[in-house]
Amino acid sequence: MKTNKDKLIKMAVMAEIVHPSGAGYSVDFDGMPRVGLGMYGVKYNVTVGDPIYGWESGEHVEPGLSMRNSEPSQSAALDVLACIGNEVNVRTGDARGARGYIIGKHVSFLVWLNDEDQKKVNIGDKIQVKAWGVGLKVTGFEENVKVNKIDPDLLEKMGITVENDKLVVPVVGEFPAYIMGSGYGMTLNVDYDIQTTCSEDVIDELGIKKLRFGDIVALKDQLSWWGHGYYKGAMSIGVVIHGWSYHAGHGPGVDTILSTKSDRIVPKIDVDANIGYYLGIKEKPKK
Amino acid sequence: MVKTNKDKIIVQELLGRIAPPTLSSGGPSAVIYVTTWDGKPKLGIGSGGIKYNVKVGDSCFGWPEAEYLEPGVAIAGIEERGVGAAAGSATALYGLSCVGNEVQVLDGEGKGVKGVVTGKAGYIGGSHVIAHFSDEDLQKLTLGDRVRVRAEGVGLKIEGFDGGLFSMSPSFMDSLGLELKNDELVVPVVKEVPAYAMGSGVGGSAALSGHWCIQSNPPELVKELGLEALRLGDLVACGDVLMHYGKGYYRGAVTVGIVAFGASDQAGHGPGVFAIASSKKGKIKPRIDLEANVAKYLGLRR
Repeated sequence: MKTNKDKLIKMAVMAEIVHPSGAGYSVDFDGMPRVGLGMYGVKYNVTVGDPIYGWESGEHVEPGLSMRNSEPSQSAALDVLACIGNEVNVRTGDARGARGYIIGKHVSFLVWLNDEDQKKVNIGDKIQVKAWGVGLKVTGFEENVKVNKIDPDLLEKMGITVENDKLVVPVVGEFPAYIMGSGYGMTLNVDYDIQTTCSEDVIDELGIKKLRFGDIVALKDQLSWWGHGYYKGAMSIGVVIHGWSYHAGHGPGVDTILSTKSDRIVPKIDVDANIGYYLGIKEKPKK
Repeated sequence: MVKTNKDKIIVQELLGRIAPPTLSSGGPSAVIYVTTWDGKPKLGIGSGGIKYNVKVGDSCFGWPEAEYLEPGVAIAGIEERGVGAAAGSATALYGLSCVGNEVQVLDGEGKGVKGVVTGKAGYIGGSHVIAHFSDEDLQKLTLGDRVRVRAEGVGLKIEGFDGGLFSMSPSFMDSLGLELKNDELVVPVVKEVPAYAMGSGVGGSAALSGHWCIQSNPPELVKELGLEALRLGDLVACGDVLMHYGKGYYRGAVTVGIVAFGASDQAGHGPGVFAIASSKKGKIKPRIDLEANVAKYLGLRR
């Protein structure tokens, strides 16, 4: 697989680590009030490669640390320019100089740092991103496959091959259109959710509980070109970026990175299809 | 006929204002186009304001440059200091208004004229209650006029029905001719829509506020589902869809809702449906009736 990465502008954008927020109870899909933990802030024990399900009182749990830019026009630029897999560099505080990677875009960008650096960072620290990836195209697929929000080097490490003029992409699983939820109709700068507020038999049938942060998934009949929507026969590939939800229509979020109207993308099941392994920041479990 | 608790329903006044039309803005005077599902620019007119020639019962499709076209008069909440306008008062307007509620104009040339609530649409940054007025009375209205809504319907229950009822006044509910057969509520609808066709609005707030779009693109989907005939104010049934404490997929559930506004060319968007009845256990039986439209039940004439 070849890309136009040599032609892409690489530039700095800035963000800062945000404090957790939220207020009291909210009502789940079935009418139960719940406290929901997990959005924003710095997590010391939740990172890429960990399960999305099973965190106590977890609600949209974000792995690693979460960062935004509080100035609206700068925030818009950050949202568009920064990509999953882009390198980040802590610019203030005790962890100054620490390097890591972007591992997702929810409302905030989610970032991985190594354990030692994660303990040193403070809420409010500034983190600079080497933003790179907008305009990325796969050679030979320029007209058929839309690439979104993925670092060119990470895309090359994902084990994607070109076979019979099709992109064969390793994924942990495939999901049907009816299960896609919150974020539907929004822009490509934000994720949309695999719904986890359906009955247990549906959750088991689709294997949603097995998902991990950073997993690569395929979304059938979904077109993410100019927004997330239904298109029969289309196929999107995305990265799982946040955790489980009990709020109606929500669940683990997916940032789409590749999408086609036609049959030019073919998913191939690989249980190790996770950006933690591809980035070399998570060790594969011994088998 | 069904047995209800309508004698116990609280009736109260809500305050709103006729909302101005809005456009996607790139600054104080810069119009920006929305991008359609296939990458084309579009203006996107239709949300907010007074429509002199678009009413419940009219088509969802075919209006040039329209996105989220609301029929009749759009009413927004008032969030300001002062008597009758405390924090949360706008939320109360969107949540408590019900189809069939009387609307009365409080200001201007149209002071005293009466209309009726026909729909509800939920947007980030400001929702709308949608009302119908006669052609003659429409001419008297001014953007910004205050209106009051005689809110009646929240808390409505049908004895023996295992599900929720939302955004219906008791009299509107009576006009639907609902029946309970073998624990199932029989509700007239023009069409049944499968879960995979439902788009933006999923994951949104509780059933009594906001909408969930039936996707109206690509054209192949519209054709496949036969959506071309859909009209503003039509009753539709959504299969495997639960709208109660939120809006999400639930296999076996059924929700009946009303089409609040028109088609969209943006990916994942289309005519917005707000719920009037929903059952997690699927205790709703849709009965196809091509005339099932708010305009008919409320007896509205142009």
